[in-house]
Amino acid sequence: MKSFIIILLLCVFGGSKLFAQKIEFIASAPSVVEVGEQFRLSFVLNGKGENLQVPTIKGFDLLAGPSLSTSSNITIINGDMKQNLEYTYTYILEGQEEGEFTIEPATITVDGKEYKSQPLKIKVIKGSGRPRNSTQSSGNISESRGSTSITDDDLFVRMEVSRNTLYVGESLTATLKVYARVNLVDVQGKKIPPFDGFLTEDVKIPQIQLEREEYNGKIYDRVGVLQKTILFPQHAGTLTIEPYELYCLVRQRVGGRGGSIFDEFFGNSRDVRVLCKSKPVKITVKPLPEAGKPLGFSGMVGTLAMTTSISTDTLKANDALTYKVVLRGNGNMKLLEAPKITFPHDFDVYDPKVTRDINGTSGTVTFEYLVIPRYAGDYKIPAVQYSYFDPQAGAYKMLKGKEYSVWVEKGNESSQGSGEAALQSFKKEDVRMLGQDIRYIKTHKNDLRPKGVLYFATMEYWLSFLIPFVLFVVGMILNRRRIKANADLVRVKSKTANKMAQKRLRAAAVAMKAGNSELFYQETLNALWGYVSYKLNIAASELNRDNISDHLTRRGADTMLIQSFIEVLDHCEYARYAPGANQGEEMDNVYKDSISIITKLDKAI
Amino acid sequence: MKRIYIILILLLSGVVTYAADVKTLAEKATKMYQEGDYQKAIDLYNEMLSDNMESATVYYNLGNCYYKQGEIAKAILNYERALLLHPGDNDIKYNLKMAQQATVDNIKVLPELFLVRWYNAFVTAFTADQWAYMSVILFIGFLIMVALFFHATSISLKKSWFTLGVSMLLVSVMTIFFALKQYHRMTDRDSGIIMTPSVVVRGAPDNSGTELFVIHEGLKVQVIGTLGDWYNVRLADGNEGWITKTDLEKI
Repeated sequence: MKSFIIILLLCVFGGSKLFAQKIEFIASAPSVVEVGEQFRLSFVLNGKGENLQVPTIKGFDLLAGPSLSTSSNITIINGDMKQNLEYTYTYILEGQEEGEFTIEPATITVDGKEYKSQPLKIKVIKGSGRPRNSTQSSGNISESRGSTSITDDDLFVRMEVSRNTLYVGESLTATLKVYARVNLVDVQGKKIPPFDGFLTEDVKIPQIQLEREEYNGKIYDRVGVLQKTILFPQHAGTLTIEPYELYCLVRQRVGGRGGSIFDEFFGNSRDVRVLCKSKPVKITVKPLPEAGKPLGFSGMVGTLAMTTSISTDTLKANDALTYKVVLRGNGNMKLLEAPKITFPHDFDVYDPKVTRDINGTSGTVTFEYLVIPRYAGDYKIPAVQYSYFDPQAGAYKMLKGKEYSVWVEKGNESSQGSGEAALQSFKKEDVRMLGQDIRYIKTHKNDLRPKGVLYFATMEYWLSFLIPFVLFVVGMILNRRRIKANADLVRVKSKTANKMAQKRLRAAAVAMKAGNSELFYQETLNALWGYVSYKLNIAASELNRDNISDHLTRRGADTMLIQSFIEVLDHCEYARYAPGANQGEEMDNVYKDSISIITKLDKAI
Repeated sequence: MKRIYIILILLLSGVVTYAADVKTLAEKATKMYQEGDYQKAIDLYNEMLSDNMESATVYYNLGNCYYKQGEIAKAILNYERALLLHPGDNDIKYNLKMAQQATVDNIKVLPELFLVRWYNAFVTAFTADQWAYMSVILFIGFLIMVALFFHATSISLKKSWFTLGVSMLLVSVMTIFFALKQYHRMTDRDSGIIMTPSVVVRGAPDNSGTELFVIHEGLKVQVIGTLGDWYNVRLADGNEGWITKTDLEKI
């Protein structure tokens, strides 16, 4: 076990030593030289190599080389020793003619492995006629020049912009550079105007490095980037970057004679402060075209790609779902707005979590929406739409995501445990108003009719009052009359009943005197029945021995009277068909009884 | 006799074909509305209303089309016309309210006594014809009550028939009065909707008249007088002034 740990430790430490030293083979040379200027081309290798192969260098005269120099340093950081070896192969070259030349990669073998340097591009420009030697130490640079006059040609500040015309929402890079052919020591800001009309984002420059650069056909040995800013114009129109004013400190030799390196040490030089002003830069900002502007345009200008994803498409109610939109692109990514996603209404949607991974103007922005479906069912999340303006094409473009179907199962309420979920199904909710609209057209009714025709104003209306009224009045009158007529008839009949009975009885009396018993009984029966018929206003045919007592009782006759009435009737019926011996006396009795009964009935009814 | 039959058949077939024509028009218009082609639907509905016809339903549907097209003033005009024919319709009332929310002018309606307000709401709940039918039915009911009164034998029945009959007669007279009111409202048509987006109301029926105030389209005003090409109008807040006839369309 112990031995294993030792091996492991050895491995770790040995490894660190081995792998920390990554072999690099770098070629370096100034990017711009004048014709006839000598310069150095060097290949630097941080290790010991062999078999250096340099391709033929075209367009340049090889003056000397290769010369090898070695340097090594050892650093110990936290007990970790690190040795840096550096082998430099140097060639001295001279430009022959104007043009751009490429120095092809050189190869070198280190520990049996072959390494290649990067190709170099060198621009050769027309010389200014001055003898120059870039291999000289920089301290002597101003030697050949007059000590006092520093022209704008020798020292100036320039604001360099990546472009002059752009759309609102696009960005440009503004670089403040100082160009010097004199011994520039320091730069101090005097007036640093704000970038009016722009949103700015500074790019960090670790350290001002002075480099050689060509500008307007002249070589400037000390060109430094002072400031680098990404600008986002805020509105359309012509915007101006105001001039910068800077103090440049230039070290000049005091004496006129050729000095040595010691002059600087012994104060034979002095610092001159020179005010440099950059030129104003005009930027034309074009507005985004109105034509074809999509609804809900996000304001993004640049190029953009979108991918969408969801964490799951099957879940339980009250479980969370993550909907992710990743926007990758180039442009004003910092201002990117969250896309509007129309989730189903019964989903609880939280504000998206935004992750921005932006480097300058390009990068990715991720929007993560946490969504919780509250009710079971099949839902559809419609495709996200995101629009942006493509300045290259000069047109709006629309990105469309995917449509997702989400199947939400019934939530497992008992497992939630908190009790809240279990209560949820009993919770009352206000109906959410999603929008307002007019009510829909009516489709099932056809009430078309001529204009202005009203029932109210017509004759029919008033007639519909009059006609029922007239009918009513006529009906009333007729009814009255009928009732009156009926009433009269009854009265007349009941009045005549007695008379009629008297008449019949008289006829019976005649028959009795004549001794015709059959006729007598016949007449008596007629008188009795006829009397009742007239008196009660009932047809004689409807009356018989059985119902007569009912009718009479209804009219208020007492039972004794009815009884005697029926007895007389029975007697008559009997005597009529079976005549007895003592007929005269019998008939006389019946006659008297009949008269008394009719008299009594007339009073009773 | 035969001739009469032929004429009858011809008349009936005319009515039937006319009805069918209207039905297909209505169906077409509904389809256009569903498809969102509101302009076509408007044309179809207007065709239905040509020949001096009117219908609450068609006015209502027409109002919906105009509303969807954003022509609020025309929508309000048509809703008002529909409401005039069908005063109690809730859909019409709702949509009219929705359309009125889109108008510019916020007029403070002069406060009315609650009794007057109730009375007006009650009277306008039915059309003149509806009130008229009610009055006839009540009158016939009154006659029946009178007949029952005369026929009744017991005094208590007679009493109840009498009170019922008298109250029916009273209500009948009242409904005749309401019908008359509604009839005047329909025939006078003294209200109008402002159709021009912005109208300057002047103090005199003349272009040089003092400018009193500015009203906007969709506002309902009452026409209280006419002079030449000018209407004298009164706003719901009691303000009065003159506008040209072209600025207003009567309901």
